[in-house]
Amino acid sequence: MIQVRSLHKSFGAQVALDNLSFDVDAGESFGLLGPVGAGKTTALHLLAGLLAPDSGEITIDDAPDPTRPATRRHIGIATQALTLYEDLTAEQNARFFGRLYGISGAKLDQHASWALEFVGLGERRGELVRSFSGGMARRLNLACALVHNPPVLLLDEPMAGIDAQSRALLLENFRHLKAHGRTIIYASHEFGDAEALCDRVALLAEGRIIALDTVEDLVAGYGGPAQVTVEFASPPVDMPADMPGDVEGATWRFFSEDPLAYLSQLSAEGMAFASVRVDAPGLHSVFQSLTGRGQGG
Amino acid sequence: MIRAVAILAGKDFALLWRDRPALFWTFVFPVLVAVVIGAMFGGAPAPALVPVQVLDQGDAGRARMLDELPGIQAVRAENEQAGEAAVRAGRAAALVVLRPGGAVELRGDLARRGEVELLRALVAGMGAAKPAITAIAGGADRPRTPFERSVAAGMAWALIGAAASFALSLAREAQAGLFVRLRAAPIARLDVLLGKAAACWLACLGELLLLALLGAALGAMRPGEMLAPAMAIAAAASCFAGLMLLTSQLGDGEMKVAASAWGLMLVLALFGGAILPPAMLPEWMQSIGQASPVRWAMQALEAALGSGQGWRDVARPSAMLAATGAIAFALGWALFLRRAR
Repeated sequence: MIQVRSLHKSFGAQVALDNLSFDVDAGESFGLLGPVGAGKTTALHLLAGLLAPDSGEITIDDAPDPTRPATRRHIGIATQALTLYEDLTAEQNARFFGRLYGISGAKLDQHASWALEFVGLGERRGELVRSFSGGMARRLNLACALVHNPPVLLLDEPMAGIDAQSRALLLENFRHLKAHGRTIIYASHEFGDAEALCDRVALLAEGRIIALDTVEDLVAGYGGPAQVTVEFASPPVDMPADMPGDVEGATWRFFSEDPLAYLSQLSAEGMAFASVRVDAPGLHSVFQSLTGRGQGG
Repeated sequence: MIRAVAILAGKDFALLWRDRPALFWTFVFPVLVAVVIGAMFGGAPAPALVPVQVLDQGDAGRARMLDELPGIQAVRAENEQAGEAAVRAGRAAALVVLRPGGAVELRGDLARRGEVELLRALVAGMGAAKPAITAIAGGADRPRTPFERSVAAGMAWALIGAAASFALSLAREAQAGLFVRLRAAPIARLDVLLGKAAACWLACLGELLLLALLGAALGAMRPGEMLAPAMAIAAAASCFAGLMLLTSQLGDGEMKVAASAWGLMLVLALFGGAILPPAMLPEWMQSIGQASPVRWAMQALEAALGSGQGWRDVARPSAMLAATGAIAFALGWALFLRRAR
């Protein structure tokens, strides 16, 4: 569905993307993840045809070069900034963007209604966007990207600045779109939602892909051990010397790929646990392991 | 392209409808200027005497008769040019030239036809043959009715208000990142600006027509052939749509564009005679004002709508307006592209 080959983009002396290549299959959810400044938005803008690459090629749905208007018809984009007309209603916004993609008449009515209902704004279609909360506006931003029913959806930080309820609603929307065969490229510096949504992810750092695989394989390959936090019923007095990690008061923290073995041993020695928390490795740990630093850069 | 421009312009009208300051400056303020300013200066009664310039070239007897005619205020003209200039400046309704041998020529401002016809009848009553009236092209510089000047000023303010309001709206969209979103749609970059320019042009057109109707109701409009008003209105709207685009690119963000758009427009209005009539401005300001599109717009609109002059008379200011609009649009487009890079 999407082929990206050897993309290079610089802004003056600043290299934003260096030799970016990947394929995305039809119906796949693909994550472009990395810290702020890694090149995600530049990559998305190249895919959307908002920028032209210095070199390299992009093909979307068999159509070349997204800077061509005909290719852009295949793409829906929900930008990181809320690109909505605040003094128009939700419906006016959806209809306006639909018209720009060549939809009109009954089809436009149908598509606009569907998109607004889909994001849960059907009953508020007549309200001015100015009165919307951040989460509602974010959902409308998605509706406007979907109104022309594009096969490819580009999402740039789609969860930015929204509450937990809107986040859950949007995640549900994305899962629904994915289930119905929509190809999604999801760019974010927050890895948690991408882990839940994306089939494969590309981790970006300083304009280059440092890892590309399924979430499971990346975590298995680079995620490292789980972090375990154990609260004892009382501070342990005779902690075995071969136990990993540090004990501080009644709290024991350690990293292990097999924490159950240690916990079983202590339990057999009669130690009582008040609580045990296991933080399994995720994409954050993968990124940390590959770059030696966190998402913050 | 036309479809995209129409969609974008439609969106801009929907936005204009909800933008109260823009509505005020584009549609309400110009009407206030036309009505209130006209009413302020229109309370004085019409002159009881018809002011006439008389050029005596050898018929002193008739000249004296003219002096004594009831309802006439005759003033001696030094020569034909001075007499015609007085008519153009509104100080006289007509120039009467008394030729040697008894021939009488009557050159009048047809916009004051009532006064000129009265004069013609009086001249015929002096024993001369009823003279034909030679029209003196009305000077756009002088008002014939108080509302004529104020309606022309209102039209200038309509153009200024629309240009400044749409420039602000364009800056607001750019600041909100909406241009990025629009560029992701399958339309050309130029369409985005053409859509805004088309909306501005149509808003100018609508308000000028509204003011023309208002002017007609106030007795200030005497359009002649339809081509002249059509030319003047279209050219004035084009000029200010171009200036709108240029001023929208003269700053980053809404506040800077507001300052540059209104700043430029107010300077053009001041020198162009939309704040004070040109006759009240010092000579140096009048000279500079000759280069103001506001002045050209007022000249063209007043000539076409107020004086009923033909298309040839409004062709020059209309051409200057259209050319200025095209140049401003091209400059604005170049600046827009430079920013986009």
